[in-house]
Amino acid sequence: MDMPLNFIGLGKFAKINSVQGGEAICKKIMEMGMNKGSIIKIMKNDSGPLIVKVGETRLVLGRGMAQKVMVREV
Amino acid sequence: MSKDLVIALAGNPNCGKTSLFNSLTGSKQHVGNWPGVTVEKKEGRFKFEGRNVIVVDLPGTYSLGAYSEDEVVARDFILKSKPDVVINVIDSSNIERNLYLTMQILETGAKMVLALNMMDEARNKNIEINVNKISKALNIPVVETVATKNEGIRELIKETIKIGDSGQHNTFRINYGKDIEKEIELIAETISQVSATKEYPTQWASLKLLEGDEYIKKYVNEIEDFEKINNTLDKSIENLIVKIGYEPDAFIIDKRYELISKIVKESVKKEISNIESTSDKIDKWTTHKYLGIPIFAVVMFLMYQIAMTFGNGFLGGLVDSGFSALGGFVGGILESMGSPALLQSFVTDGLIGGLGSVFVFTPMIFTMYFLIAILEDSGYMARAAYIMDKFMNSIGLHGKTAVSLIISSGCNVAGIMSTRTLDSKKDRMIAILINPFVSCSARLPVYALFAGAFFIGRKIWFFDAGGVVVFGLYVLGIAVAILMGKFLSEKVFKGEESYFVMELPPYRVPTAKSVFIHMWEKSSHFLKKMGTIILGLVIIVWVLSNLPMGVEPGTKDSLIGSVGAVIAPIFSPAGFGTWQAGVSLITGLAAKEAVVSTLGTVYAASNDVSLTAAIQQAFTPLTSLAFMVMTLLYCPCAATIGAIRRETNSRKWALIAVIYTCVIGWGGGVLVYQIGRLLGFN
Repeated sequence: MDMPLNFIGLGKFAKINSVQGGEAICKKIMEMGMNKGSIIKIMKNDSGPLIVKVGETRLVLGRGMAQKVMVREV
Repeated sequence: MSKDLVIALAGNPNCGKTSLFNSLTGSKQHVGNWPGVTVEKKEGRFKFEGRNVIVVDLPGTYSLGAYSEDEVVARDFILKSKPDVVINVIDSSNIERNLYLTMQILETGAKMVLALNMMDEARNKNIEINVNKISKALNIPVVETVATKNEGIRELIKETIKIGDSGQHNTFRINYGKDIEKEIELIAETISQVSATKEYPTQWASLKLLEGDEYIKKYVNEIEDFEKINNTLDKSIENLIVKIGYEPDAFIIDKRYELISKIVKESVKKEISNIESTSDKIDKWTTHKYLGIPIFAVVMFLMYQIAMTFGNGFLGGLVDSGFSALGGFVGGILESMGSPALLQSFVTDGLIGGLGSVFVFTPMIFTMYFLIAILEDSGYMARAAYIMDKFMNSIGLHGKTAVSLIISSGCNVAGIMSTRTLDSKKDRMIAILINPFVSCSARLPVYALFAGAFFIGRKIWFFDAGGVVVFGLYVLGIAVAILMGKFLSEKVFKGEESYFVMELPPYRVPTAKSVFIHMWEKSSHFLKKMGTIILGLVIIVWVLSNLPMGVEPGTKDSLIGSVGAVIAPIFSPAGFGTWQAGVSLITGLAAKEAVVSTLGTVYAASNDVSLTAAIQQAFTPLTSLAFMVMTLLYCPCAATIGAIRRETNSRKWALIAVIYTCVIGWGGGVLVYQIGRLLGFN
């Protein structure tokens, strides 16, 4: 079941299905590793922007952006 | 075959490219701007076994897309200026992500060498890389390096020169699957039919069009008969969405990562550890929901304390004594030589005294930049932007804007230049325009003088009044900046919501070498401006105060007095309509420190004590407060105006900034005075 990244809890892993919107910033994060099939780990998701880890990259994602990332928990 | 070689350094941000650049070029480097954009251009040179090599450090980018000026600059240099070799610098402890850019550069057809940098970190993490396998897979030479320790540099240079001299071409191609390949062919054919000149390689351009690259789209729209290409493109995209099930641009990105995964699986061995890395452990605290902000506050407080007590108090004091001694020494020599009084005054009061009053602050600037360099190089600054984001968002501003405001408290010019890290144009413009309200170190001498004359020693509750006043001024500056930011964000630059996306680099222990280079780069720029503008100003002020010939220096009858008298009435509503105040504020336009040195000249005060006394005579606590508020908020110094013009690429905005800051500054001073009067103060 696909859901926005915001709903995945701390310490969990998620597999990315898509990044909605098609704007330049969406493509940018895809190029930074948040592309289809990537597994990411949620490092912080309490208040303010999320912090996720994809591979060795730590990315901060504002909640608005995170909302567009459709994932499935793994 | 000994022609000069031109090489470009390309890589992700934070991959150690700068260290490599510094290792290669040492001091023979030149920093400027790429024409037409506000992207820093770094060029240097070195000699290796008789060959001259020119190195161009391209901006750090994650890809060669068109998402920012940085990326366009990088790829235009590779495609159009055609360097002989591109050295792709990789953070070996994060290979997958770094190889994405590699793929993009390979696809441009450039001759490449891969520098697996930060090998020390990779080894620490027990990552084993089979250099031969990668080299074979990518068909380019690969060299392991640790730029910060100068390891592998010789070999890197050798391989680079070898490839540069060889006639061998880069023929790397990624197979995107038959559906995409077919459409690439179709589009490429259409482009060749229609266009005579080929600024970009056709196959590459077709791929970019399928990726939705904005710049290539624009480029295509300028070709005659572009509709043909666009039609073909639209049809292709439609076809592909049907055949592969989602958008081609996302698919292409996936295909690249697929290839990268394959290569990495075959050539890199890492332990899959679930042990928290050190960086993650630290981040638990620095980005903690409740502790994050207090920790940040402590870091900032320490930074200020060190800059003020060590930089300003201790080192600054040394500079002050030094200049006094110099003044005495030179004065003595001139006198014994029997030089005319005018010359003596010019050299001792004008040059040495004037310059001295400003150079006293350079140790603090250097200390500030040193501390900022440590915070940036260690990776903490990114966390600061993260922490400030929630608060900044509530005012409609970006997290990274907070970082630029912090840097502005050292020097507005530096703060404004640091806005380059903001991606969205709207955020950047706003950040640039509000930075001048932050109290910079140059305004400190003014506070020191006036607070010293009226407020230090008195107490407000248990706090020293002087400290409260100065702290209050800093808070006022930030408050005005934030209010202005909110206003600009809601009423002026109404643009779209910008998303907060930022990489948190791993924490690294900054090397002394990189911190010093970093610090020196910024401070020397400041020193140069100061040395030229302030020196010029000091001379002008001295000349104006000593003309017409024979006049008592710095009095109402001198030229400077006349100028001041004309301006003075503007400041009466603020309580200090004297020609001296007017003149000093005018000179402050060139450099805010000049306010103090000019006051020194026009009140004919030869040292601190007599100037303080003069101020106590000419002002009252209330008017001094108004004066300080005006100094805080009014027009930024010439160097800052220049920075605004450069970073916004527009004279119009620089002029607008000058106007509104003067208005707000004047308004602030007047408000303080008038309200004070109403409340019964004097």
